[in-house]
Amino acid sequence: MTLTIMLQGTGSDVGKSVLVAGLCRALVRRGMRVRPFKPQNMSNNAAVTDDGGEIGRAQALQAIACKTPASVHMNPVLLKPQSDVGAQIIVQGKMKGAANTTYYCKNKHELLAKVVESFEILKKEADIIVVEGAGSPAEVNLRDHDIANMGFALATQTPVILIGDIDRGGVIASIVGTHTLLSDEDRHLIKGYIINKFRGDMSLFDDALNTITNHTGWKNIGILPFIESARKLPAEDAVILDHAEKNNQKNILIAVPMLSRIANFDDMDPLISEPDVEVRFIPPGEIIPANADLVILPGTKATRADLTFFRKQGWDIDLASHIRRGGTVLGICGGYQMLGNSVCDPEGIEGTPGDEAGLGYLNVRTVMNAEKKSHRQRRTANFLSVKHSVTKSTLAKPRGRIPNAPSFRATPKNWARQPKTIKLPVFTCTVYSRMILSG
Amino acid sequence: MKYLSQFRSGTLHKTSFAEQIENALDELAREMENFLDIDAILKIARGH
Repeated sequence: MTLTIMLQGTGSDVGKSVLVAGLCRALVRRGMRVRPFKPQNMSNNAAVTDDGGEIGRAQALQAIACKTPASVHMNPVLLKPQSDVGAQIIVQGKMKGAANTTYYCKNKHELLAKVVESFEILKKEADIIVVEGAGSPAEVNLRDHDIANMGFALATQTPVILIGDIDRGGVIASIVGTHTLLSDEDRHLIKGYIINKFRGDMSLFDDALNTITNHTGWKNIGILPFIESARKLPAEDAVILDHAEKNNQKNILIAVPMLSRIANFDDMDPLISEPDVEVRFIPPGEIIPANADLVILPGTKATRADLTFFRKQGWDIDLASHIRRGGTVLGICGGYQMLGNSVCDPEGIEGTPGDEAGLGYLNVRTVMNAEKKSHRQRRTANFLSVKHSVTKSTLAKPRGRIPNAPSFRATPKNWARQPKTIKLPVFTCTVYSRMILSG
Repeated sequence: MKYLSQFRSGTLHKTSFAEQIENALDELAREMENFLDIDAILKIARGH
């Protein structure tokens, strides 16, 4: 028999992903075969699995915690937000189209079947599956079509532990409130709770534990202090970028404009971890610092819309100034495509069909199509000097989205629009920063 | 760091990023063993 346990939260960003990763590693250290699982994730931070699909990066990290290769079955439904009302939907690693609320009403049973199918596949290779919920089960307005929290737990009879975040305040109310709002059958699935991110003297919280247990009947599984090492792990929600710290003491400044649909921003994590590097995420309305050594245009889930967004912030002017000063630019995925002459989306993959003029620094034209190919590549950091004559015709030929488009390094001398030789690194965008550091 | 050093000299982290992640996961696991009742979690997972 395979054991199963699900960690749900009283809200977003209470620490579910990190606690699942930590629990997975703790159980592995006890000698168990552990697999992570998240029925449905919503994130623009995606990782490519060994079996050639995409899952949320948090599940890829949890796979590392389990010391096992990542699989599409660890996160069978992935939603990549493209606008405030729509998202690209990835099912068992492959893109299935766009999803909105009506999509869920129509396809809940089909999606839940895929989720359970993946769950059963993982169970065959594990002693225990540690499942992560999404958001909060107390969002009872979403319950009818839910497959991420109680919809999944009830269907698979997976016991649940609820996580409350004391750092944001109101933890007693959030746990008791969750208990109050759930239906009897959902409530019955919760067997205990954890207080997360505690600072200070834990004994001061004893009375609060009694209050929670008296109101809910749930067992307290423990109180976790604010764990500093958790900050070293890649974050999944872009909300964390709002709290990034400024540090003027570091030697190298890298500026990253925060695009509205920024994707895979944890590509910067290896750079952030370097003691002498400050990676500064530039919020909308702020200018790109004139003393930046390097500007990185990150990935985005809506390249054309973010081109407009980029210009609206005046960042196109800042970038041009940076280049005139002799600054260096690195583009990743959508950021790379934005640096080209145009981004064309004739099928409306990312929104309304149409073309958008790029920033025009590279003689590259991107044409998106529905099929996306994902590969994992392990490379050493070879900046391959490619004598490649970049002409409009040669670059326009491969009609199709540039999957995992290569990042590039460009200095002012190769920023001219005329065909000329550029240096193309051989690694893919999602791993570029790791490669830079190991180079 | 070789790439970054073209901008300015800096101090290189002593461990690779992958090692840093491994270390962080191990530290996190130790903290969870210290502060959570992992046996209780396993009992719940067994349906007890």
